[in-house]
Amino acid sequence: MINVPKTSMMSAVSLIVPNVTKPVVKSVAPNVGKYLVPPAKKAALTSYSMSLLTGKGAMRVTSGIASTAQIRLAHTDLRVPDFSDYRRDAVKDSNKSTSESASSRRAFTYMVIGAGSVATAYAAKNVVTMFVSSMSASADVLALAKIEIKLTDIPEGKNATFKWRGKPLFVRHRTAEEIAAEQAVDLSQLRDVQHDNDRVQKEEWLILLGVCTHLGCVPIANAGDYGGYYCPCHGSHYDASGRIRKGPAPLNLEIPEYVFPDEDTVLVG
Amino acid sequence: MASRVSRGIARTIKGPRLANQFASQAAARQSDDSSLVNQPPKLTKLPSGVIVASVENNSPISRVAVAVNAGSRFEDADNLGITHCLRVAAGLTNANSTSFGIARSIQQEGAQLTCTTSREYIYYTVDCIRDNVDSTIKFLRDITTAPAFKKWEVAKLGEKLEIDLAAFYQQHAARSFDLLHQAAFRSTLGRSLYCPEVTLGRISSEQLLNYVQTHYTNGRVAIVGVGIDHDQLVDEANKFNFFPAGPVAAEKATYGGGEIRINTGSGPTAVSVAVEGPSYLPRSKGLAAKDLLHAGVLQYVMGSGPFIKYSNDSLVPRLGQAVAQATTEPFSVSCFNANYTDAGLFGFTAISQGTAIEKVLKSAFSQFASVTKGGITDKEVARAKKQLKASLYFYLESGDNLLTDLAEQALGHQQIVNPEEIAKQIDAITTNDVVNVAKRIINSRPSMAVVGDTARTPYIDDLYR
Repeated sequence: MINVPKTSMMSAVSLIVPNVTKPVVKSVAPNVGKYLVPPAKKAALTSYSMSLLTGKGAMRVTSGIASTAQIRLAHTDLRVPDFSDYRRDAVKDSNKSTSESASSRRAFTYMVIGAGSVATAYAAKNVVTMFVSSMSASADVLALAKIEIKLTDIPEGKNATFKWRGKPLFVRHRTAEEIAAEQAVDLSQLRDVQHDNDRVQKEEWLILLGVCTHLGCVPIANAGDYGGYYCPCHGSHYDASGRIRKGPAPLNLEIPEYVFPDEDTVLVG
Repeated sequence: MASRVSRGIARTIKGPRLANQFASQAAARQSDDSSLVNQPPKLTKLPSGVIVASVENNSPISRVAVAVNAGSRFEDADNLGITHCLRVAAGLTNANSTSFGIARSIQQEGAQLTCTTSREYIYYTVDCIRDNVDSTIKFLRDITTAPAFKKWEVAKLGEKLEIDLAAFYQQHAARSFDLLHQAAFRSTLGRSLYCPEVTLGRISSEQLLNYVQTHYTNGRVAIVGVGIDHDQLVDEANKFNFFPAGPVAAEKATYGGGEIRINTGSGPTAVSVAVEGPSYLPRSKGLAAKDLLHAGVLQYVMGSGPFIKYSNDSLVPRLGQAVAQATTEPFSVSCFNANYTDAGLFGFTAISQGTAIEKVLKSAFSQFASVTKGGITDKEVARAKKQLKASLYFYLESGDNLLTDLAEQALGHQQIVNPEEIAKQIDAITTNDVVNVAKRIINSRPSMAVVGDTARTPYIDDLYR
């Protein structure tokens, strides 16, 4: 016999009698205090239903799981709350079919979801980029990357040196003869072919990095055989346009990015 | 493994066709497969004293029961209701498994474990698929030989007993039948199958253990099976170790007679009336085994329920027709013949509304009186004999009933009698025998139990003669 204790109480009364196999009426849940009382399933009112209750011999009682009777406990003390404050007007009337409003309800819901998704995606993208871009260079670092030079302080023929981004920056105020000479140079003689016009924005102002392209020493201005720069480390001669003419260096001196915001200043970087 | 499965499938395919082996078979069926012939029941008495009986009916389901001679008649004044408790407590934790383990394992196997009590025996039955018998029999073993009856689980039984009892009280006919025994036999067979209200929840774990240790002993147990190989069952039975036999106070059931009336208000009323009937085994006093079948014939002569579904009892001779003359309200009157090892009850149950019950009872009694005066015709006896034989065969068609019958025969007289032999004995009954038995029965002291509208039900001495 299996009676699963505590939760489900199952029991059976079957009047099993010898000489006939007729199970008697199933037992029903009676009133035992804390259990609910469903009414008796059916009263035996006809002769036949009464005859099912009688037996022909000795009585046996059986208990076990999956026997003929079952007691069901209904939970009528549970009350479903009233949600009508949150419901759409179109579905409040329980006597009307809701399939007519179904498409408009669905469309409204989908639009709200769609708009919300777009807004969320936009906000998410902004947040992410805000945090990711915080890893890029900060303002003070960016500020050190540019240098503004007042050009009126540099006389003609002179080469001014500035520290920029950790490297020497040469600003040379060229004379007219130097300009003419550089522009007349035969390009086939150059190791690193570059015309002077490609290397300056304004002819009188030559702005370049003072780092020798051979092994990185700082060339000396107004020195060398070509009237430009001379690197003392290994003897590289540059001309007044910063191009390599003689010596071991392979390339011309590097020209940085610069603009002339007005006549008297140059902004390098 | 594969062969076991295919054997099982083969049995499933062929089994149901040959399931009803016990009754007569057509020759055509027998030629189907030589391994699936009708087999007689087998009985073995083990050296320990346990009786093993089985019949192979080629069913895909095996049913095994442990029947113990420990029914409600063995209750005494201190432990009234203990068999009801035992019936409900069969699935509780025992020495080898928890109650949850039992429930889950049984359900995993797809088996069914039940406990049935009658007035003389307690049956623990397990129904399972043939291949799973080994794993499910061990639950029977644990329940009957290694009970634990934990205090906290026994304490919770009170709720279940209450529900059982309340459900039982709703069934007036069953209740009146139960009370009839109390009126007739008082103690022993008079003990109810249900716990009396006053002792609900008072049975303790020690009492249960004591009862089991006293009664579940080697000489009082039979292990029976239907749809199982006899040798397999004997092997399994040898693994059972019941408690050692000790002294058991065995009172003989004596018939007293009396009346019990329970008033449940107006409405359907059930009345059970009986006199002392034949017992199952031979005895010195009163009707005994040789009169058993005669009483059965008398039962069907007087009428035992309609045989046509949804028909009226008024068509059933003799009682139904007699009562139908007296009242037009719906009623049901049906004779019963309840036999126990050393006593029996023969009588009838009448059910009707309170307003009609008096007429029903009076006409039923007058019909019984007319048997002693006018006798019984041969035609009636012939009809009754056929109905008795048919009811016997119909009863044994069910595997559950077959199992119970095997257990009762094994424990009662340690041998199995085939229904064919019983049918032959029924055929040999003559009308004179039935009339003689009827005279002895009808003239004895009656008992009555009424559950229902007792205010409208007459007392037994008003009805008697």
